[in-house]
Amino acid sequence: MSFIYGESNAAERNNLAAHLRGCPDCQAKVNEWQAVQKALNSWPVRAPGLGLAAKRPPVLLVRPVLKWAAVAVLLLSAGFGLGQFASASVEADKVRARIESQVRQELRQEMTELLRNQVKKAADETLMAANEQTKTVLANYVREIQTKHEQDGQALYSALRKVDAQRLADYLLLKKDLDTVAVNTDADFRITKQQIIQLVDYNQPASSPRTP
Amino acid sequence: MRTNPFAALRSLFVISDEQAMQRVQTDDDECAFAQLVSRWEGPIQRLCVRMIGDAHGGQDLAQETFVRVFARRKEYAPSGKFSTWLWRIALNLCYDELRRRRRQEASSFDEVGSKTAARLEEFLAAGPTPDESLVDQERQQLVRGALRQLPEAYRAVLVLRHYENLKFREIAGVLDIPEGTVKSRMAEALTQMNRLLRPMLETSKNFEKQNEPKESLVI
Repeated sequence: MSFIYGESNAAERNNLAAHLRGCPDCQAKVNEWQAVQKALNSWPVRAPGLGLAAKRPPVLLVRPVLKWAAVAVLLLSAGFGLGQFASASVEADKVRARIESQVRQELRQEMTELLRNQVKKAADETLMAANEQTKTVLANYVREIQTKHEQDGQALYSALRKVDAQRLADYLLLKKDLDTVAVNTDADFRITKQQIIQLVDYNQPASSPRTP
Repeated sequence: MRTNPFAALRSLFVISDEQAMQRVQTDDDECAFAQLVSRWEGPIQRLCVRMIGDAHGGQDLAQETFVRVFARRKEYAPSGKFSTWLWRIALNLCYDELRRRRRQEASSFDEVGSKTAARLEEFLAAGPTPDESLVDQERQQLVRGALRQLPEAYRAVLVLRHYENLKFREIAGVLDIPEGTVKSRMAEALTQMNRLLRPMLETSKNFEKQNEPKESLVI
């Protein structure tokens, strides 16, 4: 697999290549895999920005550096040219040296100032934009969490109401059953009472005396 | 080798992922966070789209990845590689989404209807652009469909290695498995894809054969 994706070293590659030359099955397998690799490239995926990050700070360093480098080259060439055409005198050399050092110093100052300003501007812009974007993303995230909590709360409330309704229904059924039992028990008591009275009447001797 | 002096100068102003993440972690540095997003939104989005097979869903997951990175910034271990941590977060979100979609499909009353609607939505969301030929569009759909049929463990390895060009060693770090296991999974993934894409591969082979330059007859 390292061979297929170019991760093997030269020795490994040579060994495998030698093996493949003598092993048609392995060669067929490698061919299969390489065909799949090619087919996989049929699906490019575009990834437009997510809008979360600020624009990349522009690469501001290259153009100013090029510009000032060109200026420096021109001035130095002019100085060199002057030196070539003028007499090879000490005065010309001194003038050239002074020009060069002046140009270098000014160039250094300008570049430093420019760099500082550009970096500060880019950083400010990036920070502001990133700030806004990040706030928006975080606000959305927090809102989503809150909505989810509300939904969870509502689902819980609904479940509790169902449980409560079920309990009430069960209670009513139980009450009905108890009432039925009470009624039936009452009836049974009355019957039993009557039976006891009859039994008592039956067992009592005749109380009224006979007249002679 | 000559180094580009401007690149060297620029490197003074560009911080590494790890340095940026450390600033996010310790100072809530939004600028550093924006830099990280800007660098990684493309690769993460591509991973998510390929893992779940749909462009809009992939975009949402990519966004969610960065929200989670920010929300869990305190959990980042500065000694580790930022990219490894980021890939792991994105992959876990993809797995969660795939699980959620499977549960949704399984519990839907109108299974046929919802599956058809979901597939239609994905087809429309995949959105091949008008300038792509019909053949290209068809090939894309075939590859997309085949990838969706691949088990997720193999799909992740294939997407990370083939499309995002991570080394096997890096993938092993992301998935927290041995490098050997990564390579086995990759071999299995390619073998299964070969089976799933057989019609397309056969067509390509025949097409190439037909367009081979033929030897001219010498009279």
